[in-house]
Amino acid sequence: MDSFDCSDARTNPAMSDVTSDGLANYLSGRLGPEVEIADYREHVEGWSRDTISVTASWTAEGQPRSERLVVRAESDAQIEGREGQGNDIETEFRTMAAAQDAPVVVPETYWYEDDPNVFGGRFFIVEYLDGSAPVTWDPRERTDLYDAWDDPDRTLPDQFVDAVAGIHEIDPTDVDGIDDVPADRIVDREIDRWESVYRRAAPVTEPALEEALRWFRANAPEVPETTLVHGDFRIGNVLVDGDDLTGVLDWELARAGDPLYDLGYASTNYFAGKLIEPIERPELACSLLEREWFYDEYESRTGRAVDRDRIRYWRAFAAFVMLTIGLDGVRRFDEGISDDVRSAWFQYIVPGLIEDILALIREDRT
Amino acid sequence: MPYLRPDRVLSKFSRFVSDDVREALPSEERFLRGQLGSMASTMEFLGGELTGKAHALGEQEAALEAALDETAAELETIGSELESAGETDPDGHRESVEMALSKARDRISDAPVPQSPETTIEKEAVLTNACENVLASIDDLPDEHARRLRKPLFGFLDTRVDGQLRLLGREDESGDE
Repeated sequence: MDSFDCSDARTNPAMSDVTSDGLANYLSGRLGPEVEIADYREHVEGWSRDTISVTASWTAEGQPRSERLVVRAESDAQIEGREGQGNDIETEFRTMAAAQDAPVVVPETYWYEDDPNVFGGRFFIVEYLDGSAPVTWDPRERTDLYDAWDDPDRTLPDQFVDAVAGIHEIDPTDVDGIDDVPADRIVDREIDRWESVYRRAAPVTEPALEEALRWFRANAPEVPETTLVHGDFRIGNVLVDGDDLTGVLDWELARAGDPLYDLGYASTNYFAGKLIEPIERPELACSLLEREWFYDEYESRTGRAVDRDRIRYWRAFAAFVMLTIGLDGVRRFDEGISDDVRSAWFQYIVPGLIEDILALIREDRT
Repeated sequence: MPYLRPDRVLSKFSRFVSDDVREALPSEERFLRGQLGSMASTMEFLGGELTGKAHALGEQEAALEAALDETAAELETIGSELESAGETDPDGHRESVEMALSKARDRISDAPVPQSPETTIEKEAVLTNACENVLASIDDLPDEHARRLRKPLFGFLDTRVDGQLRLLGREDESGDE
């Protein structure tokens, strides 16, 4: 593994070439004649893009202005074409732009740049939103989410339902780069896509997952309509500030799909924080809201019937997607494409996810 | 030589990485701290794997052999029921299941004794592939029969995943809802 220059976070080889000086140059002329950049901070929690936030200061109409901004840039691996389960960065930006008109809290979109000569790869700049994304695998943060559910006001659970309902008001055909897929092709498209990734990534034969794939094909639900789906909707991809949901992030897996996919995905035990041991409140999706309440509230707010069998299907499928993404990371580590230690670690999420899949499909297979 | 138990060495390394190296880094070095956290956790898991793998594999083998016996017995019962009803096996699906069961038993008995990391991996692959071949053959049968034949094999799948979770440190036998 290369040694890292720990003295200057801006030259960490895990991040792209987005520098304070470069940003000052780029934004000068866009925000004001001279822009200063301060408080540069790398956000390394994510897996795909390089994400940085900065405070930009400039003068406009004689008045000092400042705003905190977020820069999302292609990682080195993405620039080299070595990575990508998700959409390209321009589609991610266009998706967020399309979401501006929907009743969902999303950072305001400012600029997309496709010239690689600026920072080595493509990037976009959006509004910085206050808050932090809860980590459900941290027992302390799970407790905060339990408190949010136990609070009679249920402010955060309420806003969580509103967020996903708002996402499903976005028409996928309004987003450049998102393929329009007819409703009767959605399930096959999903299975084909993720099975091909799994086949490439799987290091051994797992008969439980072969059974799961047979179950997915044999029990494919009828999907009555498509909307934009977030594709990675969970509490870990929203910003929370106090009791409030302040923004929905990480739109790279957005696509045309069954809106119930997002509900099933958010309902997995994994995203509630289960890894090896069972969690304290397994009845809560995302450790935040009881599943039946979630589905009932979604129904009453959207007018869509939430078919519980379809939710079960997508819940099992989401577990399969998650372990497939993990195994793909394992493959990249094993083949030397990535030396990110987290990728090696991700093999350990697989047994818990298999356990959950078996629990969901057993009644139809035995 | 070696005199130290490898799982204990890994556990000590894990604690050193987590409690000393990681904690010595400034909090703003979040990427490196994350890498070290994952490294410490991985070493801990690897230690568990070293100590428990042989036992887990033995459990899996016993569970699969029992499952194959139960599935074979159920297949025979189904055959008798169909015979009594005057039905045959025109598509040969039941025969395919019988062959898959027979091959599975042969492969398990011919599998290497796990005495090294390589033979352990090889033995595990024999078990999982054998199970999968039988499950795949069952899929062509009518649903009612397929369910009955799969049930014992799902017991093997449970044993396998339970063993994997125990290798990773799970103490509680019960799963989630």
